[in-house]
Amino acid sequence: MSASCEQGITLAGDLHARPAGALAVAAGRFASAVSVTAGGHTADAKSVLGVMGLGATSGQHVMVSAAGPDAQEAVAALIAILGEATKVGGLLPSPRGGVPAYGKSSLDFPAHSLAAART
Amino acid sequence: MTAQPMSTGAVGIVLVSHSAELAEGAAHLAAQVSGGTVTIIAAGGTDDGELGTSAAKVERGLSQAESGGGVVVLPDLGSAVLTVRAVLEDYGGAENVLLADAPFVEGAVAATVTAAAGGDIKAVAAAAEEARHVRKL
Repeated sequence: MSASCEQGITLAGDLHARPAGALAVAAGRFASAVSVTAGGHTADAKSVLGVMGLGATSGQHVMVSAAGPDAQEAVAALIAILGEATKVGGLLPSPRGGVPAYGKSSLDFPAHSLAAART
Repeated sequence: MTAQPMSTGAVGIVLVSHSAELAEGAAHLAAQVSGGTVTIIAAGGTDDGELGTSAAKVERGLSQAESGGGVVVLPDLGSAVLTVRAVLEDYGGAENVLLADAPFVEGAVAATVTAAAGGDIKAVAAAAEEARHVRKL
């Protein structure tokens, strides 16, 4: 069964490398095609370079769209990540050589997407 | 053991650079962006720490990065390819290794993010190679 879904969010911070990475890792775990649109440009949400290339900044409205069997879950997960990860201090830099500070909360890697990931 | 050797486990990444610092830095950056769940091995510099590449470091990197899903190797400049190819000629698990033709930093980040999302070895290598076509500006 296929569906499409779309939701927008206003960014609380710039879409830098770490939040873009968190977004692309999460998007890659869904079967649906997922895209992110900002400032008139659209990128494949599974492409971290594409997401970073949007250059989306604080206060900008970003739209997440998905089409496929898990479209709704994908959009909900990515909107949650965009809400959390672009907050100031949302994804804290880790000490050099350490494990990055994100990935602990269920928002970053939702349980349903973890279950769907290949093992 | 030869039927489906790459069907399980995450894909590992080996970054082969002429500079140890460049390989380490790219590995650190890729780990941060991808959430730190992927094995990324920096194989940079010669055995005595000079600029250049080391077959021994590449071979060690391949075995350290392999955890059942195969390994994608990114060279920084064309001549690193020679070292990797020489190693692969004798390397036991060469059928589970893909050499990606990609920009070094962007390729490392894109490959690692795809590996973190559970992509297989072909998807990870393709993500690295697609990095060539993604504009920064």
